[in-house]
Amino acid sequence: MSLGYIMSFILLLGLIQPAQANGLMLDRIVCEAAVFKTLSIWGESYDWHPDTVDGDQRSVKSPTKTIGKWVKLITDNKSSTLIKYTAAESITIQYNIPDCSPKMTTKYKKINRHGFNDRKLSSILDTSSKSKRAGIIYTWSPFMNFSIDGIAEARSIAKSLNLEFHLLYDSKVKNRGNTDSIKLNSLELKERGAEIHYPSLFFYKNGEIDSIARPGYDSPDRLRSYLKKRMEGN
Amino acid sequence: MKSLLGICLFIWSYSVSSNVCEVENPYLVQKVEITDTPNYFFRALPYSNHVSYATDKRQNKILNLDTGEKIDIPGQFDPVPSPDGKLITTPQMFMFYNTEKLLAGENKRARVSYDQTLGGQYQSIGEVEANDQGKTLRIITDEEGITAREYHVSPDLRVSQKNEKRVLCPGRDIKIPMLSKDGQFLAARDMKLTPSTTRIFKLSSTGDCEEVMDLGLYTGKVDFSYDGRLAVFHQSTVQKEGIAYFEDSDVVRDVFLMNLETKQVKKITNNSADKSSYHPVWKPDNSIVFLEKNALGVHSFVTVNPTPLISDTQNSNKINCDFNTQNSLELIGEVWKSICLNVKRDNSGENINTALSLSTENCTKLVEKNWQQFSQLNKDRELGLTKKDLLAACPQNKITKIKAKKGLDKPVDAKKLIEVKCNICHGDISKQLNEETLATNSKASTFGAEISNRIRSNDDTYKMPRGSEFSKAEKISLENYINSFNN
Repeated sequence: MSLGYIMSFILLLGLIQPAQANGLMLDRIVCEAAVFKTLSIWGESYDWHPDTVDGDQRSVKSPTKTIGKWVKLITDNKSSTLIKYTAAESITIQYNIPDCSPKMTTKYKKINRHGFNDRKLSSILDTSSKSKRAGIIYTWSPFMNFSIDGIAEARSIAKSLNLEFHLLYDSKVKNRGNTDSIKLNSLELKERGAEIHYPSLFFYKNGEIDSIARPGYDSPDRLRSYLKKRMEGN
Repeated sequence: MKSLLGICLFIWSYSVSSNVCEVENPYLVQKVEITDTPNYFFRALPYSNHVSYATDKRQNKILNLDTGEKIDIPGQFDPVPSPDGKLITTPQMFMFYNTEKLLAGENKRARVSYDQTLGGQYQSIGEVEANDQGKTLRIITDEEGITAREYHVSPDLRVSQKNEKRVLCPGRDIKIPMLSKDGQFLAARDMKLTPSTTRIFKLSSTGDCEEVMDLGLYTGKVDFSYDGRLAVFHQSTVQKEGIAYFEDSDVVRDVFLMNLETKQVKKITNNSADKSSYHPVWKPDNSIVFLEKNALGVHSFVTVNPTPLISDTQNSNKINCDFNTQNSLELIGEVWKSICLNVKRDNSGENINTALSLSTENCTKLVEKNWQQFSQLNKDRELGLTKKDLLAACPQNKITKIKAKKGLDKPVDAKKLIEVKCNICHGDISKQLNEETLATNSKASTFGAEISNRIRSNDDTYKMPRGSEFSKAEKISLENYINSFNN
């Protein structure tokens, strides 16, 4: 049995387990061998999360060790597509049955250097790793009134708990109103669900950030209690 | 001369293709552009073509999607109708209003009850029982995670509490909960679970929440259909064109429909960069309304009818029609993609869906203007289709676009303003703020000055209304009204 085959098998297990846990099994991956060979060559460590489903097409996605770089696998009845992407570029490889030969496309995008981008996030997490400080990232939108009310509350609670506080606003709006917030331009945070609902909250500590955003407004008491537990490691 | 002709031909071909390339949602029933800025979270009134929402100015409104008429209704946040639409509720100092009276502009007479003890927000409402004596509504809010209470509503819309409020789902960390229309199920994220995907919980009589389904997706707030078989929600997605990601793509929000019996999921919208769809809700006729925001920041309420998906969710990407129509749609989709996206893919399901995404007008134009290309493919593949077949296969979308006229907001009426915005915190202050009581009140002038100072203050701890602001016109109107008693 070749090493490549063993690697493929290990990756396959890693891929299917989370999908099973979600009740959305990737029970069939078209051009499976070719897909796993590429995943193996890319050499990332994968932590698969459910992404979207649309008819027969379903996808899973995984962060990588590099902030702002993600891998996505999309599969349907006739093809599988692997995408490795950052805010600046994407490599897309598509495998169609029956021959499963790869068709690769590389695309580049003008990177948005403004706002809170992946570089900024990476810097915050690096600092947190060294300083051992914890913090929260709070996202809000002028189109969700409770997210606005929550800004002052979250800031005040963060301060009282000695947590760093970062305030980001909806990437789909043009201005931040009277706040000191920064536009959310981080692909990493968006892929972690920062924009599914406003407000959303991320907690980070020792350079590690939540794998998925906490959606929805929390009353001050609930937020304080939640953050205390997180600081204690729960 | 030749070059001029070339330029003209290029411009002509571009204008033809760019028109033809516009895609409509295949299930579109109505799209209403609006001039104000609603909160993403809104609700559709079930048995009339109205939506209720809060604006960024913290003013609740009801919009008639047929006429564009907007009316102010009491409250600053999330006006949520009961499943039968007869009541509208607002959170925090929990209020119940008679919808019919609100629609008649009788805000002052519309309040039927309130419950000062039910706190929290994000309310959703289920109808757990109905008989000749009235209905029992179950209402949940996010107080202490998730809190519920039942209310009896008599046929003449008198509301009374049936029991003490209670915390649901003990031991869980429930977020963005939404109740089913029958009040028996809950869709929510339990942040204690890994992964914290959206789940459906069955509510027990003791308040426990038993998980009955994992949607396997991270979604926004879920809305259950009226028969409880279907769910809609929005999700963050990355837009793609053909197999290529990016170009101008970005993370956008799209609307999805899930059949809870089969777990089949179908994407309803296909948004491109800078366009997103939010918070879809069901109507009892199984149509869906969602809020759309485009690249220019214009908001629209969009109504779609996904009946084809509901009736055939097992084969949702295949159309239930005759062989000729299937072949025609497949060909239309393929040619559209080759012209508009410059991609060639042989994926019949996707081609059919693409064809169904075209408006009748654009589909007809596509066939008429590109008949040579269709004809060649038809011949190569020996499909035996005629132009008539292709035209007959074009989707028959009935699209009604109503753009709300500007200036529909009525002039500021101070009495109504007090009724709508001041009564929230001051109870029935509108009754006290009238000529009779103020004329006999020696403190009337200082009272007026105090109000004026507060509505013009920037101090969050002093200003009125709390957490909100009057517009310039509202401030002037209110001051003129108050000062009129001192003259």
